[in-house]
Amino acid sequence: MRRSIALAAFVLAAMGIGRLITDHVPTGDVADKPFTHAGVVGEKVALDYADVTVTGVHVTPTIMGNPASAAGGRFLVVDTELVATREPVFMAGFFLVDASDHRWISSTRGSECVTNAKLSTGVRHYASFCFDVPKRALSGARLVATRGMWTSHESEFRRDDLADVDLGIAAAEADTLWAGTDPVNVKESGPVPPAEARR
Amino acid sequence: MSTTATPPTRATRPRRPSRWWMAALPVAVAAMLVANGYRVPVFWYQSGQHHELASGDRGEWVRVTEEYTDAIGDTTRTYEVRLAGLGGESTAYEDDGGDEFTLADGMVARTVDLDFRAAPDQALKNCAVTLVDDEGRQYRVGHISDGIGPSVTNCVPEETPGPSVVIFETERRGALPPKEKPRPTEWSSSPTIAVPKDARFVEVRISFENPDYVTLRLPR
Repeated sequence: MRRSIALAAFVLAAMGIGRLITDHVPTGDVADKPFTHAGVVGEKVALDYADVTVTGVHVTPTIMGNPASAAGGRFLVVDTELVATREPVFMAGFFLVDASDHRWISSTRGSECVTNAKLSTGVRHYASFCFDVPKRALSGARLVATRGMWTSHESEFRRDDLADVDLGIAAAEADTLWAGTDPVNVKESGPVPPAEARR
Repeated sequence: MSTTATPPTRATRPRRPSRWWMAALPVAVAAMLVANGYRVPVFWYQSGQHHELASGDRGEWVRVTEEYTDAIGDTTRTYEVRLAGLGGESTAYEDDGGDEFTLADGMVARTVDLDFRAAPDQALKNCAVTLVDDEGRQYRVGHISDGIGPSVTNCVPEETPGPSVVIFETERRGALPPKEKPRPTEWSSSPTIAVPKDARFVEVRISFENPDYVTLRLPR
């Protein structure tokens, strides 16, 4: 009888410890989180599979094209240079994270705005990602670039390298940027530098 | 005076600790690994070149038969391939739309000279050709995920590429579009791949779909 009570107590204690471990030890962080590499505009972020550089940031109500595209809020246009370093890479995840950690997917409404990049090893790829965002998303916005598409549970880039680039928009600048009316001419993505791109 | 030993009853038999879990433990571990094992084929094996079908040295004919599945069902493609060598060092290249551009950053377009033999009814369009350098870096043309370079006729003649893989059940395997002549039984192709000018290559890979590939070794 005493032995049975001890065994039951042991089983209950084991279950309790298991619950404590799953509740309080950040196993999810270890099992699922990507390896984040932070960067800023103009600085190369070296990932395991590609180098990511944000080369320009624009805020505009209009992206030029035929026809031109008007933003619901403002287009935050992020110009990038991407180079696969070891093997061809398909980068499917480019999204914006604002200061409140809200995420914004890229829009294809603007002419030549893209949502992903096919990288050939060693060949510099130029791509612009356009996010139609409200004013509150501007200050502190970051571009996150990774191979996996963004999904609600982040499983597409679990344990993968991820670039997290601060776009350098201070809170004090948000009003000025929002008030700007100059349209932006987004250049065709691909291996041709924007200055030489045909469209 | 003798006594007769009575066999121990269930109540009087000394209790022994249960050991069934010792046998169950490896079974549970194996079941756990199998349950999680789907990640290996999905995220690793099928997502890259991991199954070498055949291999050979430069100048050597390599015969390949690979299994694949089209809209009708399981089938095979059979061909022979020989690596004649590498050539060319041009900075002119083309994007996936066929528009020409100039390679920068020390990259050049090198040709991979290949000879093929196959029956005209074999579907050999859309092959990917990969150059692997001595650091293990891979440079590729022809894969559906490649943003530059031609994608359809890297391994077949441009004018007579032969049949496509069947994508509708109503199609006939080996059929050609109207007015297209059959592919010859022996031909050469020279796909170009953007690579660093100073890279030293150790092998060429021919692949129609992951994870299968054929290795053609270059002399070191």
